[in-house]
Amino acid sequence: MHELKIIQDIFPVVENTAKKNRLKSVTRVVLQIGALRQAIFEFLQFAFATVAKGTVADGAELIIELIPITAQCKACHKKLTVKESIYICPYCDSSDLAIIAGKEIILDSIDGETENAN
Amino acid sequence: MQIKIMQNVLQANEKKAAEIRTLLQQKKIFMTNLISSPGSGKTTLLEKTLPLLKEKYRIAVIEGDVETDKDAKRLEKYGVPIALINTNGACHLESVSIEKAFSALDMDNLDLIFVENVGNLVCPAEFDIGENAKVAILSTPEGDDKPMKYPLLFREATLVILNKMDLLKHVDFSPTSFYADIKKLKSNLPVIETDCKNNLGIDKWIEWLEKQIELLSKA
Repeated sequence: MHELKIIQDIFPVVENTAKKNRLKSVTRVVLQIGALRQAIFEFLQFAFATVAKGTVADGAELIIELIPITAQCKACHKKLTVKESIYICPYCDSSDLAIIAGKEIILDSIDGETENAN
Repeated sequence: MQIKIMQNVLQANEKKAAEIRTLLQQKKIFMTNLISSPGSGKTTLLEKTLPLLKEKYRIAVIEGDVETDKDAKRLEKYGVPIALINTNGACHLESVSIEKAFSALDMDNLDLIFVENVGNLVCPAEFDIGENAKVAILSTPEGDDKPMKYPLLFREATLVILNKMDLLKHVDFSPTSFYADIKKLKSNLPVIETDCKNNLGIDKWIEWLEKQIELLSKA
């Protein structure tokens, strides 16, 4: 259910940005989501299409970019990508890892047509 | 034309959570966020915990409930202040609801706050409410595969309570697989096994809480 909440949170920003930049329509929204968030893309798409109805972003395409889980080993300081929820450093076997990416939910950008463009 | 925004979506919640964390630190209150599936035994654990700690500490409970006051009613008889938050369908508590609950509590006279989050293993793990520690509660009938299915919760948790140990012999739960998965996810994550029906393991949980409160008072 957090998918709907994410979309509800980005919408005012999408609408304000469109207004500020005099967009007559928003054609594309790019959202970046960390893999740790376990967001379900189909639910995000559905929530987006539903919330967008009747707004400046009606019919816009939602692009979702998945950010892999990246950690830095606190023992050997190497960076690694966490796969299949295994939080163990492949270089030195330490499990003392600091997560440096993978929890993001970022509204990256929007695309649209300006009012005076023909 | 493309317009770059680069805005963190949960920013508003995280900002409020940071304010709550600062407030708790100033007032030296330890707040723990109890997260589990519905029916894993959060309220029962609190029923066992409150009588053992209420003489020693000033305690309050923030009760997150989707619709009802059933859990709050169960805890009423223990004589600690309870702030009920009905989320009206929302599947988790957010920091703004915690702030509202604080206004119903006497924050100058508290040492310990238990937040009973809405029963759900996904969303409550995502929303920082400014707590000192997230405690994940899992009961054996739910199965040993839950840590790997809900990795964010078990990564974020400071402690795991493995409850309903009395049912272990009746259900498909392999402690070996469970502990192997916990090791993969977060090798130093402590696990306390409890059986609330027969009061087993409650002492270890109480000990853990007392240690956290002591650490905070020294900080």
